[in-house]
Amino acid sequence: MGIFSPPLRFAAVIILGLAGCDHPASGEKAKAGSGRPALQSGKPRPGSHPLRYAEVFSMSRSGDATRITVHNPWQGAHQDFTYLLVPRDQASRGAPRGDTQIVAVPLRRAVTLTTTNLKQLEDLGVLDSLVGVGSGRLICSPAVRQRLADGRIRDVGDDMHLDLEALVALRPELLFTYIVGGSSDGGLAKLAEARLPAAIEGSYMEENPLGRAEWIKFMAAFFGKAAAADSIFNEIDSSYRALAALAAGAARKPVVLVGAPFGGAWWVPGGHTYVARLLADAGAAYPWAGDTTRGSLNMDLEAVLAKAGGAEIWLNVWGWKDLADARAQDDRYALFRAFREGNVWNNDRIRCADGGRDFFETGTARPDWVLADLIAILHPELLPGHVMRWYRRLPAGKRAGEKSSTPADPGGKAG
Amino acid sequence: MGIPIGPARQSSAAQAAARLPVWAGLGALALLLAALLILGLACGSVRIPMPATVSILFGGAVGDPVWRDILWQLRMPRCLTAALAGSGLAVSGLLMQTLFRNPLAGPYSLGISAGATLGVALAVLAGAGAGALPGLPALARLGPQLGTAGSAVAGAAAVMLLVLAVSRRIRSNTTLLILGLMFGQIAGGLVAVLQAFSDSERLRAFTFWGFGSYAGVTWAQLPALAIATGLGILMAALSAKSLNALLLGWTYARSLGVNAGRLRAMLLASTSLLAGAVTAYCGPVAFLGLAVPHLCRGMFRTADHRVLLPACVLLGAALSLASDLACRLPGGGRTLPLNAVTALVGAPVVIAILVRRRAARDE
Repeated sequence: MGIFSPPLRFAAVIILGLAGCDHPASGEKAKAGSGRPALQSGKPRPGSHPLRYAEVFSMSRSGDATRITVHNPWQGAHQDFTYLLVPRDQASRGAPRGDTQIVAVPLRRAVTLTTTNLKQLEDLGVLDSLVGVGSGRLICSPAVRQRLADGRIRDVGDDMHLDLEALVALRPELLFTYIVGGSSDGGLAKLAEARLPAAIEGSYMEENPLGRAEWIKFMAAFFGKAAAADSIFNEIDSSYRALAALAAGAARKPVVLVGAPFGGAWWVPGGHTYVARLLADAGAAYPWAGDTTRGSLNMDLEAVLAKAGGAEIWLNVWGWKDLADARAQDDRYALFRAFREGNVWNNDRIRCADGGRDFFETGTARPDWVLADLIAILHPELLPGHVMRWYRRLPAGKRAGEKSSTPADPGGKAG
Repeated sequence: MGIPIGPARQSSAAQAAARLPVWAGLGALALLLAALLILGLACGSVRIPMPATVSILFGGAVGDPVWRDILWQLRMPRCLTAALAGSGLAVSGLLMQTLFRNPLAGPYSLGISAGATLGVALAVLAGAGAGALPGLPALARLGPQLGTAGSAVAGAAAVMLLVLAVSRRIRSNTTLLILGLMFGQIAGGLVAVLQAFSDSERLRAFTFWGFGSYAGVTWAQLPALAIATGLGILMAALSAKSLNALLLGWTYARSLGVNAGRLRAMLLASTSLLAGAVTAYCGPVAFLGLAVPHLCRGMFRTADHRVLLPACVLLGAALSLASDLACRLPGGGRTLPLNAVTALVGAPVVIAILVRRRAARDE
């Protein structure tokens, strides 16, 4: 039927983005669907690199080589991907051994299709080894934008519209991609045909915000920066935990609502998601905290209203300039307490070209900064003088035209 | 050529006896509509007991205070929208089938909905795609001025005019349908170009609108939808007699004193208004416009528009409400896309029509 609707895959991406949280690229992807099977957590192998939070990948060292396995990196995947990172001088480059992909490190020419690891690459100081990025027009990082402008980094499109010719011309040694599942393979098949080696970055599948940030260790291994990654991550970890401890001491937990409806459907982050975890750590009461969904729940307006109509704070609304603008779309938002009290916040303080948003690019790498913003919203008394990084409170805005009354009783405007 | 829309052939006495009295049939449809309306108000992802529902609807204050908001602010506009949209689409489908003398004509199949979609895209994605295609900048400037509904009606009218112009040259039903489909594809292609040039937030809003839903219409928007639908249906009702004459062709209609030019203009205005307004507020909704007129003809065994029009209004509203109810079947706040449901209901009707025509021709 859908001859006028955009290709389904594209639509799905747009929908999934509604969870308003985790976007591997272009600020428009999130998990949906039900959970992945639990990992067969074996005993840590000798020489395994202990990861504190990340569950979607594991690392172990043997001699000079590092073995990295990425486990089920998309919703419903039953597949592991193993990479053996070998020092350049010892590698017969790219010869796959069974299912294991051999990568000569440190990489000198890498491409990444996910924008969520750009901050990590920048922190590791390896941007000079980056020759291509996906979704270039949405990127916020000034350093990367500068390189895009002067041609040191090239925009290669995104996983839906990969500019394969540009990619091949770049002669990358490795391409970092991500897979959202469904019909999208992240361009893997195409890359394989073009004989472009790819590695899968599955950080968006992590439920723990620190688990996502810990993927800096994954990225670092490919650039020979393991030590730097450890120290950066330790700092993020301790800062996050200090903030969470601070929030845990809050006198009360305000009820928080997340996201906004589109076309009558509301995608609410489930109880086992990154968003729910952040809210819990920030000292919020999340109405769906007890839910066990790993992805987003599709609910209609009335279900959300019944469960969270009384929420004091409303976060991550999409595309509203101000409250008047939202009201013009649908005056029923005023049924929500947070809306009436003007307690609606969005994470679009830092916006970049073409609607790209720094929150989705940098937030994954710095969950401690996200947490600080959230705590400052929920418990302003705990972080006096905190300067908001990503969040802004929506202003009331001007009511255009006449005030539209909403008859709440019979005999109103019912035709 | 075996078109089951023509006036009924000399029906035998037995058939006449078997035919449902019009008042009884319309009464039954009205009852069905009322029942579905009550069901639509009573059912939803949040369980509100029936007694409480009834009491709240009659102005009482029972149970959880949020129930009142849910019933009055969410379910009531949604049900009224479903009823209005269903009526509007069914009537516009009936008019198109008569006008083009084509059983498969409808706002969706002839590309009229696609024209309305293009209008909405120009309004919503305004400014996007300027310079992408020659002529688009001017259109894109026009979009925001007309507003979403205005540009949807304009888009519907534009495609309708095209189809009308072509239909005067082309007698073949199949060709006309294929042309309608092609116009729809062109409109769809333009929409896709606009989408490629728009920013993610506008695109998101537009994409969701494209799935079709009755849930997004608010009290503030209902009057406009009601007026547009009412006006479209009224125009159709006023020309019911001319439409009956038209069943035997333009020549015959003229001999009965029908002003062909005026009738064409009326049909153009009415169908564009109905299909355009419904598409603007609910997104493109497939199949209702095509299937309901056939169900009404089958039910009343007549081609008389004085019967079919009210029947389409009632059954269109009822089927639309039923589809909306089916959308909520999964429960737990999950909803099915409206177009999935209407396709599952409507497509079998189309298949049945095609099979019956085939059989009639083979006899």
